[in-house]
Amino acid sequence: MRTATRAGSFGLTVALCAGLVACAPATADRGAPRQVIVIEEQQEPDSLNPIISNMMASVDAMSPVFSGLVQVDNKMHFFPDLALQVPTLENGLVKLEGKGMTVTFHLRHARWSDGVPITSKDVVFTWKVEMNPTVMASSRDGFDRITRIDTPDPYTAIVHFKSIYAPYLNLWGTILPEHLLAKAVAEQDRPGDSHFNHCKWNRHPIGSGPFKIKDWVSGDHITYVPNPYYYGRKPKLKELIMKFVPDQNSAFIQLESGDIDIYQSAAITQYDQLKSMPGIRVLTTPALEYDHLDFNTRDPILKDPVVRRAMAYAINDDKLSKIIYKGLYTPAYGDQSPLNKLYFNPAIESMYPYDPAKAKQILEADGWKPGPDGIRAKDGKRLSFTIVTTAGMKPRELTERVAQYYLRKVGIRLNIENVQADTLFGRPDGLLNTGKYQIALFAWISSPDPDDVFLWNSHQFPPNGENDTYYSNPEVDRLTVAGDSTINLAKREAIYKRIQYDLWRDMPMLSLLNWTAIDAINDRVGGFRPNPTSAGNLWNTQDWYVKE
Amino acid sequence: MGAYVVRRILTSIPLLLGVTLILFLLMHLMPGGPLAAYAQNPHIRPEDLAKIRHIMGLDKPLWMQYFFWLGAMLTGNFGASLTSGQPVLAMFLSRLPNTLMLMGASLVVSLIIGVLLGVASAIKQYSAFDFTVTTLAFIGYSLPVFWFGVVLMLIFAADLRWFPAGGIHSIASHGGILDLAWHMVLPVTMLSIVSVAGWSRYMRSSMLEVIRQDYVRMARAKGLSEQVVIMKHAFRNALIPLVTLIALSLPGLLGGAIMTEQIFGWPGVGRLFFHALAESDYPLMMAILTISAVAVVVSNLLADIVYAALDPRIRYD
Repeated sequence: MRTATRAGSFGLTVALCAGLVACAPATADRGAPRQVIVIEEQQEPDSLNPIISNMMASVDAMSPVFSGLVQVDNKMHFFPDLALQVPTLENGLVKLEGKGMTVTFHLRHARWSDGVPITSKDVVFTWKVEMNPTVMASSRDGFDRITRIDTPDPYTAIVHFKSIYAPYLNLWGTILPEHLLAKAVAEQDRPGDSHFNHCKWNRHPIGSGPFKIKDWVSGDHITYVPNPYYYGRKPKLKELIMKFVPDQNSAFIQLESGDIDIYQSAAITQYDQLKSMPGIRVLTTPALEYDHLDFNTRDPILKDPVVRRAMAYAINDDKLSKIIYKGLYTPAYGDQSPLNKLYFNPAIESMYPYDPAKAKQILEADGWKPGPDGIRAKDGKRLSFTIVTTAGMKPRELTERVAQYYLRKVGIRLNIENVQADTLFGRPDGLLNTGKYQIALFAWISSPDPDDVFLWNSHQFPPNGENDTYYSNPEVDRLTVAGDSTINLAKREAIYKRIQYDLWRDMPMLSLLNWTAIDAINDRVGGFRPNPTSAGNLWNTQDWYVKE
Repeated sequence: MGAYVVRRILTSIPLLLGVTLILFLLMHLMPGGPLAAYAQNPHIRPEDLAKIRHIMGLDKPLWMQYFFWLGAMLTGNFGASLTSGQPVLAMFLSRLPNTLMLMGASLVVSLIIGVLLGVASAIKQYSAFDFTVTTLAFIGYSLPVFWFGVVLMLIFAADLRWFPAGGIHSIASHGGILDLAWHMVLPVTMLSIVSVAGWSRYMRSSMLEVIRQDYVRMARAKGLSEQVVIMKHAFRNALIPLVTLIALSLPGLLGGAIMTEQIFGWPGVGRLFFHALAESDYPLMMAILTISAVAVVVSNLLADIVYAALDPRIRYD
């Protein structure tokens, strides 16, 4: 009897397995659908409400569903979306009026995915929602400079800014449907599902982009199908699927097995294996983020610019990239991205070549002499600093080690003391916000439209602003304000190039490496063009297709 | 017995209240908090941050937040997620079937295999078979999920293509029981390999204990066949402690397996909890932890009752 039971259960198991394997190939081919692309997303979005969500996964998930007045392409140029033209001074759609300015948008005759026309009222509504105190908007930056929006007709919106606002195009990436959300905003104070922050629309938004959401299976995937009312060319895909794959190793395997077609932001450690994977193309795209060292210029030793410059000479960025990032990251100079062709100042690239001898020489001339242990000192003060970054972020921890090695060679000691992200960045108590650090390693993302007041004006010391290096230079103070109050591109270009030069000369921040994004895609995918801006990789899903 | 059950239920009320209070306090002691992502974003101004904190109700004193939570929870309202805004109970319930399926299947599989192996190695104590089973069981028990899960996927999904590399349904198939089962094979295998060790060891030692009892010797002395002795007299009695252990493992059915769900992209409660933890989504964490705490208390009670029912020597009055 015993043996019978056992054999029976094993037999059943074997039969079950065989059955499953037998049915496997049919499903593994993903059946017949040709024009279907599956894109991996590591995280699941919290909400698809563009005003509320703060996550990159949400931006990706929303991109196919929404359109805005203007959008940014993968070359960082604005192009008209729901608007007929991108408003500029040159085409007369931006006008200066005293201290302020007006921006006119002419809308095309487009419809929401439920068929209702999109009008200038929706533009007004979007602005009002952003400014509504009960709405959990993640940022009101820029919207709070708008005094009113005139709507002379359903297809014209004239936005009045109370002051010059150079990044005026950044505010219109998504427009909300008033006819669907007005009630939710009005019922904001009532409990339950109806109100805006929590309403059902946030999971199944109706937008005006090339796709609409067919279903969202929590924890698994979102399926998109073409929006029949999309104003532009019909998407070629029959379905677009965003699959949530929390583990990067799994994503790698799923790409290999064909379960996903696009693996975004692959780990640097997977790069070589991805390159050798048959049928897979690896795209490396320069990103806008860059790693940098912030120096606390209030520190009794770090306030000496010579010490900071010596570190710029001493660290070999190329080697750093080779050791940690397989040479994919590129040396960074100053605070603007080289992708930002208009504003980047190439003149500063040659200012601090890797030159340890020069580093020693300027330290020597400044009176810093090597002590018995090789660490330089002057008047009893030693060049020994504490560096901090986010604990557990492997590449950054390695960067610290490499920097430690290079600086030790010129007589500077780095002591590594890493902390939790919130301890470093948190406000109001974080180390950066309270100035309780010497050198901090982290990343910034540079914006297509610089706004340097925020970071480099001496009135923006924490906790009031983000100038956490406590950098203070009257010329930069003047330039940052001047740059903020003009939209003349030639003037802005000259101003921001000059600021870059000043910053790089004074060295409150040592830029190390520009990031590179690694996306791996199946050869069958066409039209995928990674976008380094905050628009994300799903900015042009209407152009995606499966190669025949 | 009835009085005993009532007494146990009554004493578990203050216990559970204490548990929720401790969980609540521990959660708020974690660094970061639900607004960490906002607080780290330089584009979000302090006044906007304060506004969001107010809308979320996080600006109220901690004790008040706890009592608000407790009051709502007692009426069955676990609140809304701080990240998605959905009711957390609905989020939990939407993931529960997936986790029940995954954990239930692996419990059944590992139990069957574990019990069989345990009985066999007890009967053949110190044989080559026993040593092999013991060694393999310990290797299985010690395998790190985050590594072995990937190895399984690499072999059976990437190379052999027998099974899918994660997820719960093929995207094209839109459901179907075979498709689901096909997706369950690898994660269930992973979970079972780890837990077979435990079951087989429990079963082995329980069996060994029983085999030495007088009534087993008596059965043999009566001249019964070895098969009847083992199956009827020894095995049934050896199962009694195991039943208790099964009852105690029931809360795991609800809680899911965080690592396995994460690696295999299984949309279960474990992954939901991991997400809640990463985002400091207090209401979501509290709901999952409280439900788990209740499950632990209930299954303990269940274990005691079942034990008494199966073993006439145990009386609770």
